[in-house]
Amino acid sequence: MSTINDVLTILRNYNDEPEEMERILMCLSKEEQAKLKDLRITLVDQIDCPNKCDILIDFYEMLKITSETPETKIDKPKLNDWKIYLWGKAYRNCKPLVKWCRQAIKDGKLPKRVDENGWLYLYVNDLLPYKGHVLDGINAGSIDLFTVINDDVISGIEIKMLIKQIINDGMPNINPSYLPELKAGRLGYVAAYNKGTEKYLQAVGLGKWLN
Amino acid sequence: MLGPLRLKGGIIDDVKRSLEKYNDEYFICEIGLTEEGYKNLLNELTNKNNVKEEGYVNHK
Repeated sequence: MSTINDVLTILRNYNDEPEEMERILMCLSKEEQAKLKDLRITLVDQIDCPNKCDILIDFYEMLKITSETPETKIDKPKLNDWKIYLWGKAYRNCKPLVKWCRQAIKDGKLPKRVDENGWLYLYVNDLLPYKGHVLDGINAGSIDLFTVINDDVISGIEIKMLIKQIINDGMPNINPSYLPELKAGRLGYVAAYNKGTEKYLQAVGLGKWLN
Repeated sequence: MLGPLRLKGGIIDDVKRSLEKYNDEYFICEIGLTEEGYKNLLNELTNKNNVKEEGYVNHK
């Protein structure tokens, strides 16, 4: 069996899970990523897995921006260092936001930040100057509490840890009916309707998203 | 629990092993292209991605 068919067969295994493609991309070295970049020509045409293809194309679109957009030198925000990666989870869950951010980086509106893996990211508070900006697309929402302060968008476990703390504290001044939303990671949504979340968001440097 | 975890590790390891065998020359030869044809294909792919960005997706 040929190399290309080997890879095709492997990627066709299981379901068409975008998360699986993300895990593969995250586990590959830069050299392996470069090889896959060539193979994707064949993979995208033959793989029969639209979701995996979408992730694959998106990943290399993100790498293209990291290599072609001029460097910007700007310090990270002082109060909070939570990140939004501009591929993978955030792209899957909120494409309008990620697409707007990428274009804003190309236009020089937002800083180009690249981590040690070569992945494009922003700090959450980099978006503060654009709070209220309406995103393109039907029901795309805007850059606000609801969209940004959300476990679907922010990388890592920071939101989950903060939510765990709020629940462990007994959800002070938070209507108990919002517990399912909290457990689902939609902290911004809960914060919009419950004053009790203010002190928590202020404590982690995200207070400006409340105003 | 061990089964699914091993399988997920397996698919990543299998992809890595296959990529290890891969090289440019082998790839060009396998899809029946000259080096020039391969470069043209890369250009085509770039255009194709632009079309996909605009919302048209045609996965075969």
